[in-house]
Amino acid sequence: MALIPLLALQALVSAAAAAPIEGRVFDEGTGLGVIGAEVVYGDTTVLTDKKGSFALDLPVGTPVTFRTPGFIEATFAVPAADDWRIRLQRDVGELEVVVEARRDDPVVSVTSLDRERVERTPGTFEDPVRLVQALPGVSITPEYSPKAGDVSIRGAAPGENRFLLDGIDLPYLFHFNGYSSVFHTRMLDELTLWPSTYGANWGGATGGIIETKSRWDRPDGVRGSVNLNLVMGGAELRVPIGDKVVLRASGRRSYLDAFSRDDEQYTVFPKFWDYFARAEYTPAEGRRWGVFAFGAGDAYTRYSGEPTELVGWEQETNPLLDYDQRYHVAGVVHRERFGRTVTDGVLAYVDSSVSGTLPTAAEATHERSVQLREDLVSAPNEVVSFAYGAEIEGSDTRISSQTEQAWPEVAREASMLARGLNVDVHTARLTAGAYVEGRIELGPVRIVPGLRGGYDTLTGTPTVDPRLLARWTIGPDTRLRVGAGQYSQYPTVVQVSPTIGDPTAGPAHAQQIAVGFDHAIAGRWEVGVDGWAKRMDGLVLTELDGSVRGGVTGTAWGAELTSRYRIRDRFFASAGFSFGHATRDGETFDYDQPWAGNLAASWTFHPTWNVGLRYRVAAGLPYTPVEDGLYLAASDTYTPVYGARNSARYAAYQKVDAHIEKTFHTRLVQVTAYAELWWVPPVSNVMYLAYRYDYDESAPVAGPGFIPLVGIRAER
Amino acid sequence: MLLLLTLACSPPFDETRKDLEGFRLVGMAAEGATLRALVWSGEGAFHSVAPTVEWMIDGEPVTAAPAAPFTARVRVESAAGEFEEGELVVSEAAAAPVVTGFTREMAENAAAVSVTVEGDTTTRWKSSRGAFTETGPNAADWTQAELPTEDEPDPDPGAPGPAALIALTLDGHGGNTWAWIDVATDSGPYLAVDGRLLPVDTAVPAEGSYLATITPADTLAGLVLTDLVPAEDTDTGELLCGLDPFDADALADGRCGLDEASGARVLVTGAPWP
Repeated sequence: MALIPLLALQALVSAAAAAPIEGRVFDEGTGLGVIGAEVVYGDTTVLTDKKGSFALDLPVGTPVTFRTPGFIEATFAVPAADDWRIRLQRDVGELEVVVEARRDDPVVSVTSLDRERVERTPGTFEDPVRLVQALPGVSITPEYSPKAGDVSIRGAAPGENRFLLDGIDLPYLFHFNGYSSVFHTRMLDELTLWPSTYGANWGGATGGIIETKSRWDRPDGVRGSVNLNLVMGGAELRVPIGDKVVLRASGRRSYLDAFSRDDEQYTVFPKFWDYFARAEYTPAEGRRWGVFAFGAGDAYTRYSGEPTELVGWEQETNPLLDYDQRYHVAGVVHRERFGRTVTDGVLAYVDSSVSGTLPTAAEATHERSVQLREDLVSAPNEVVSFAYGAEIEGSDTRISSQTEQAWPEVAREASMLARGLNVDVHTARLTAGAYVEGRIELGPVRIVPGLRGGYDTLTGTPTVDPRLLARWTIGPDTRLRVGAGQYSQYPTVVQVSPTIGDPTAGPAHAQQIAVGFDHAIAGRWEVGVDGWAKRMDGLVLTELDGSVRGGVTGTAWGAELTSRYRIRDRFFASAGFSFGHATRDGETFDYDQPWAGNLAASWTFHPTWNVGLRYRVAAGLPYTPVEDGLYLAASDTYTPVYGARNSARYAAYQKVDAHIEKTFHTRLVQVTAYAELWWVPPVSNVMYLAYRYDYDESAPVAGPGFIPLVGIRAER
Repeated sequence: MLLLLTLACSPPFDETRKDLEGFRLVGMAAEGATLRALVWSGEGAFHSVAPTVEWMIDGEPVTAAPAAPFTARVRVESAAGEFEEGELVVSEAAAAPVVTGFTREMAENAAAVSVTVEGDTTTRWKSSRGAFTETGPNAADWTQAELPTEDEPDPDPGAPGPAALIALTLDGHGGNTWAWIDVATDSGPYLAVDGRLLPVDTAVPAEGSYLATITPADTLAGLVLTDLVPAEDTDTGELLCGLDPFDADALADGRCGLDEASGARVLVTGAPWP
């Protein structure tokens, strides 16, 4: 923006006489008037009316700024004419409503989402993280099924992936059953999925990496937003102090528990909350420091037994399970630049706990850890650059379970109580990893060799993981990517604890390879193809009875096809299809999904109106069928007798999401009202199978087939 | 939304663990060295042919229970080939409950039943029809009609007649026992033999011992006691299925089939019902 010439011009014309002028602001793309656009001169702001018109009384040459969300801000001088027509360009980056966008920097398959791009995507309920399952290589799980919210990436179980917020491992990614992510979406700047064959900078996982980054934007004044929907409410605030300091905070809480209590299943309805706060200091471009705290929690109280089967005294004595999961994180984050070297680092204290409590039994896992991560990138010349860094985590974990009997009915929340285990384990652990990576540019070819090493005091086993990635830019719109490497992951404290887990479990390894091809046609139609394969060993598997077994092998392979098409900035469509297969010890993997498809489209047919539609279809997830029930005489109950693991599969899953939103501009705030609905066809609506008390009969349990959600968001 | 989720969890089955319907293993117990299985035939409170009962410990067939602790498995199979398997885990803390008495107070199309048990126990109730509401650890109310639900606020009141009730008492450590406490909402006549209500062709005048003939019939018990005459002190009646003395419960729990009992002249001690 040519600010200095405009200021000079303003000085020249400051003595000119004021004159009335009428004008109108148009959308350059649609030719329609822009309603509610801010027309700013000096300290004064007026808004355009419903036709996009405005009237001013200013001297010729006075600089006037025009701005409104979704358009590129522009400043023009008042012309000598009495009719002024302003054409604003759409800000494609903000209004584009996409399911995914590939990032150019790495050589591997990677997908990024940014908040503004996906906020309007149907089915997200304003939450970009919920869109993770729409990304290539991520298994689609039915909403509200027992596996809802589980993120399985390219044949990796949820526990084999890492979820990070600003470099810190998140204990869990979603609130209750995948309803929403554990941080305010207005705090989110970007979400990146590294599904496999990523560089040496990432480790500690045999699966994928989901990296979320919070916003570091500098607001031009106090900015914030309030959002409400039928389930939860929240607010966020950004306050600049001087030129170098920004305070940022957000908080959300569900409020269903305030209105709905003591239904058939819950005595205290699920409640969840999260918060984020950070004080930011940006002394110069490329340098920043921040002190932060964030956290989240989920809790509910439910009947442990099936309340609909119990009446009278049985119901009164049906014990209540109190479930509580929460974490708090506090720390310091920084970015520094030393010449041609940039370093990013974070130091955080994490306190996380999960507990399940019955009147006469309780289990809890409480972990306190300190995480340190530092990454440096040095580019001594245009041909070669180096990245190196380290991450260290020291943790102290207390696992306890006290019970006089097994409580299989609480297996979902309290696996130790379900197994009737009595343990009290206290474990200190130090895990470290370090890497070095070269980035060599040889004309159209980029080669990235890397090496990563790790050590863990619990297993006492070092790991060494070589990796090699390459990219060939065949033409301006075409590139080929290849990658191969080894990826290692140490077992969790629970997985190697005596009694609970398998003390013999060591680090798991995955040898991975991937090939990708991207091409753009006429700058608007992008297509991509990725093929990948993995071989894994040393994995840890949880058996159907809750016991843990290490030393498990696995294989996985797949291919992903993606395509995106855009007509100017008003219409966007994307399609993706993936297929593959994954096994564990020769049996079908829990999240194996032979095929899955996604279609999404979004249309901004008016500057203040947007509609979107999304369709997902995927092969049903596998499950282990129950062949019979074994009567347990001591408790007068039955326990299932399972068939071969994952030898049956649910019906294919389909879901249609629709979204419509309308934005209203007022002088003080911008208000967006939105409505979403989903529809799951009955033939595809199977969350899980329910069994008769003796397992002799089963019946599919359907999820909610049709759900509307309305919400409102006010922001400034 | 979350509310809808909970609604989706509602079990879709009409039959619960309290219902005695198809062929089913209902209880297992070790009474001293005797291993016992309580089997419901699916035909009624009788078995046309006694089911086969095979006990195993550590994969080996057994006929008697060892000292606790132990884990025994049983496989019961009907003459029609239906089978079920069960596991009895008896810990050292097990103390087989002893039922010292029971109550059965009839009301209109309903009954209040309980067992008197020594020790800290819980009783699970099962019936061939109607519904239970537990009123205490070892007590329950039975109604001939099913319990009202949101879907069916006015359930069918049911027809007058008998119902077989089983009180399965558990100590939580593998110490189990059970008792039959039949109820009837019709006028019978029946002979109340302990907890069983056995139909008779002629009402008996008073409590006492009778010689009676087991005659197969289309009743819940699968029989009618006919030709009842007061027994002399020296009468013993026939012994059935190797059981001494005759045990009416054995006809219901599968230890004795009607094919062996039909026509037998047995000694029963009971009271007129109602």
